[in-house]
Amino acid sequence: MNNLPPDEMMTQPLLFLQGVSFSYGEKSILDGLNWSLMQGGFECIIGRSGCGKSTLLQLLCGLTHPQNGKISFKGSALTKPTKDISYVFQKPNLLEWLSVIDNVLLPMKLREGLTQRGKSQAMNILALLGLSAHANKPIWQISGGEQSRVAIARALVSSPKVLLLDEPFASLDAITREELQGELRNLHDQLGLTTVFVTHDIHEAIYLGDRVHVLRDGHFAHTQDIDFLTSRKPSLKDDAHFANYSHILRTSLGSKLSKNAGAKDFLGLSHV
Amino acid sequence: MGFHMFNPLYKLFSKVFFLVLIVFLWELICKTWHFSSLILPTPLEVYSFLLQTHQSGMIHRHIAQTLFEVICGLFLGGGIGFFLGVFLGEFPKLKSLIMPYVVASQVVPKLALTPLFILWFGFGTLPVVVMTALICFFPLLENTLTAMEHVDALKLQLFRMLGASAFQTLVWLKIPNGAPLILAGVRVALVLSWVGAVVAEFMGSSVGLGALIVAGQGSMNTAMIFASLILITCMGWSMYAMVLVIERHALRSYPRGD
Amino acid sequence: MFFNHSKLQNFLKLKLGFLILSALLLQGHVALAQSSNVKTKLVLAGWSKPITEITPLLVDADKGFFSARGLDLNYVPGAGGGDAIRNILSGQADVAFTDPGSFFMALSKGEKLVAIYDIYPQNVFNVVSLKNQNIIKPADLKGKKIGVYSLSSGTLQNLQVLLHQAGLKESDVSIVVTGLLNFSPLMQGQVDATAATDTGLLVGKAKGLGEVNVMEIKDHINISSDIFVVTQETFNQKKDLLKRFLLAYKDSVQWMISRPEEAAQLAAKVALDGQNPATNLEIIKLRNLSSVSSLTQAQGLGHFDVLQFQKAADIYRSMGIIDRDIKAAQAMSSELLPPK
Repeated sequence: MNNLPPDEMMTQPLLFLQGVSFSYGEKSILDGLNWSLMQGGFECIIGRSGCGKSTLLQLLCGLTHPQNGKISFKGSALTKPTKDISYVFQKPNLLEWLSVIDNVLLPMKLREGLTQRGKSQAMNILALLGLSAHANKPIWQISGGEQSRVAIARALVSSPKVLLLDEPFASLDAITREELQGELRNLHDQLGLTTVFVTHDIHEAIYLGDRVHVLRDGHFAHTQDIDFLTSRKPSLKDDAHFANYSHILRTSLGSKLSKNAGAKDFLGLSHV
Repeated sequence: MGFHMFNPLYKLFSKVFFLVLIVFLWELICKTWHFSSLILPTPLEVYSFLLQTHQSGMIHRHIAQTLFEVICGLFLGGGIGFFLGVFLGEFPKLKSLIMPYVVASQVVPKLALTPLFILWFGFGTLPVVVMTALICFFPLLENTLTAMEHVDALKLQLFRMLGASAFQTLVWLKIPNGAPLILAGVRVALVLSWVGAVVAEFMGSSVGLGALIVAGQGSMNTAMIFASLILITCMGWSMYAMVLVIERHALRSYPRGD
Repeated sequence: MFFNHSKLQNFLKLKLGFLILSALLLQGHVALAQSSNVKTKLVLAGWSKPITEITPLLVDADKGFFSARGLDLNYVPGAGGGDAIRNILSGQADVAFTDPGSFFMALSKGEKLVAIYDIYPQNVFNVVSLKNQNIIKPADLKGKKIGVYSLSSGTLQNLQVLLHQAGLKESDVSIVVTGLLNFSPLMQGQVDATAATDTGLLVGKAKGLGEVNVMEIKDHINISSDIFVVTQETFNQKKDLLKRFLLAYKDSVQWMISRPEEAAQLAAKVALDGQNPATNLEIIKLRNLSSVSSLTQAQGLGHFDVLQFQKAADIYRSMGIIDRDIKAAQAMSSELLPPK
C-alpha cells in the first residue's frame, strides 16, 4: 500500500468539491458535483464521451472556475494553476523542437528558472521512467509510448502533490498500455502521489483505481470502492471480483448490455 | 547517417560543371550570332571589366555601398516587421485597426516612391535604406503574425496550466513554434532587399551597383551592366545560402515535414 | 548546449542589437559627413551621375581645388538639368549645374533664380540620325520618333529650338526618353533620330554607331550649354561661399585644360563611366573646347554673353515653351565671377 509518513495521513481531504456546477453557455456540463479526494488516493473517473470528464479536470487544476459551488485544495480555495497539481494530457503534448530532457524541464524553467539541482531532479525522474538513455534525443525520435512517459515525467518533475491524467494511454497499443499502467501505479506508490485518472476504459479504471467514480448527468452517479486482496498484477483482470466490479460500473453507466443481467450477477456468481 | 561517400563531392562537381557549361554556351552564342557588345557582351569582356575595376579598386566602393544598404534595410525593415508581427499577435484588437494601413502601404508600388523619398530623406544612402526597409518589412510582418496566430491550442493550454506569463508564452512557445515560418519570411525579405536597394539607387545614388547600371546605360557599357548584375546575383545568392545554413542550424532540432 | 532556448534569447537580443546598431550607423554616417568644421559644405546638383564630363567637380580628393578654399563639395545626381533646378528649389542643394532652357522655364514659372557662371559658352547639343534616314535639315524631323536624354534634359530644350527653326511643333514629332547619353535606341533603330550631345556622339561612335547625319544646334543659335544657377535667396546670403566656389571651379577647369591626360587618368578612378582612359581623354578634350569662347578669352572663364541669352529667351517665348517675357539681364549676375 502507500508508503506515507503517518503525519501525512490527514483527515482533511486534499481536494474538496462541493456543489460544483459548470455550464458552457446554455449547456450544463456539471451539476452539483461533490467530491472529497483524500491524500494518497488513486481515484478513477469513468463516463461516456462528452460527460464532462475533461471539464472536471480543468476545474481541478485551477484553469477554469465553477459557476456555482467551491473547490478547495489543502483547505483553501483553488483560484489558479499551482505547481502542486500537475496535468497529463490525452496526447503527450510535448514541444517538438526540444529534447526529451528540455521538455521535462519546461515547468521548472517557467516557474523558477533552471538550476543544477533542477537538472539532477529531471535526470532522476527520467531514470524512474526508464528514459535516461533518451535524455538528449529530440522527441520525434522516440516512440509513442516513450513520449507518453516523457509527458508523465514532465508532470512529475516539480514534485507535485496531485497528478491529474486525462486518458493518457488511449492512443497506445495494448502491450504498452499495460506496461505504463503498471509503471504509473508504481510511481504513485513510490512518490506518495494523489492521483486522479480519467478514462473511458472500465477495465483500466478498475485495475488502477482504489475508487472509481461514474460521471453521469453532471455529477458522480455512483462511486465504487475497489478492494483487491492481492497486489495489482495484469493477471488480476481474470479475477472474479474484477468482472463483478466491471458489471456494476457498466450498469451504472447505463450500458444496454447490462439489460440481461440477472440477480446472480450481483452476487458475483455469473460463472456458476 | 548513411550518405554515400561521393554525394557531397558529386553535387559540388556537377554544380561547377553546369556553371562552366552556361558560360561556354554564352560564349558560343556570342561567337555564332556576332552580337555587338552593346547587345550582348562576351564573358571575357565582362570578366575583364571585373578584373580591371577590381585591380583599380573602383568596384569595391560600389559593392560596399549596395551591400551596406541591403544589410541596413534588411535589419531595419525585417526587425520592425518582426516586432510589429509579435506585437499585433499579442494584441488582436490593434491588428484590425492597423492592418488596413499596412496593406495599403504595400500595395502602393514602393519603387515609385523613390522620388518622394529623395525629397524627404535627401540623396545617397538614406532613401535607399528606407526603401529597402519598407520592402523587407512586409514579409517579416506577415509571416511572424501568421506564426503567432497559429499555435496549437493544446500547447497554449499547457503553458496556461504551467502558470506561464504572456511574455513567457511568447518567448518559449510562440516564437520557437513559429521559427520555421519566420525564417522563411527572412529568406523572402532577403531576396527582395536586393531588388529594392538596386532599383532605389537608380534615381538618387552616385555610388552603388544600381548607380553603375544607370551609368552603364549612359556610356553604353553593357559589360558594366552585366558585371553589376552578376555581382548582385552572387552576393544575393551568398546571403541566401548563409541564411540557409543559419536556418539549418537553428532548426536542427525541429522535425522535418516527412 | 544544454538549452537552445537561451540560443533563441540570444538570437532575439542579437536582432534587436542589430536594429539599434544599423540605426546608429546610419546616424553616424550622416553626422560624420556633416561634422567637418574646417570646411564649409556646399552641395552641387548636377544633371547626371558623376561621369567623366564633369571631372573638374569630382577630383577634389586628389587635386584639392575646392578644399583649398575651405569648401566641402558634395554632389547630388540627376537625370537632366531640370532635376538640378528642382533640387536647389527644394533646398537639397546650393548650386545647380543646369542648361539655359531649364533655367528659363523655371523663371517663367515665377521662381526667383540667378545665373552666376557660364560653364560651357559653346553649344554642344545636336540631333543625330543614321545616314539611311536622310534627315539633313530640321524640316526632315516631321513625323519622326526622336530620342531625348530625359524630359528634364537640355537635349529636349535644344531639340525644340531646332524644331522651331523649321516651323515645327513638338506635336509634329514623337518624343522618346532614352536615358542619359544613351545611343543604343538609335543604333538599334528604335528611334529615327536622337537629340544628344557631342560627348554622347563620341561614345556612340566608339561603340559601333555607323554612318550618321548630325545637325548641330550651334549652327542655329549658339546658346550656352550649361550654367551655374542659384536661388535669389542663396545669392543674397552666401555670396562669399559662392565666390570661393566659382574660383575653385575655374581653377579646376584650367587644370583640366592644361593637363587633360592627367584628368583622363583620374577620371578612371572617380567617374562611373571612366574605365577607358583613351575615351576619357576624348571626352575631356571636347569639354575643354566647350568651356572657352572669344568672350572668355577676353574677360575670363564664366562670363556671360547676355545678348545671346536674351535671344534664346525670346526664341523660347515665341515657341511658347515659356509664357512670359524674360529680361535675361535681370536674372544673370557677373558679380561673383572670378577675375581673369
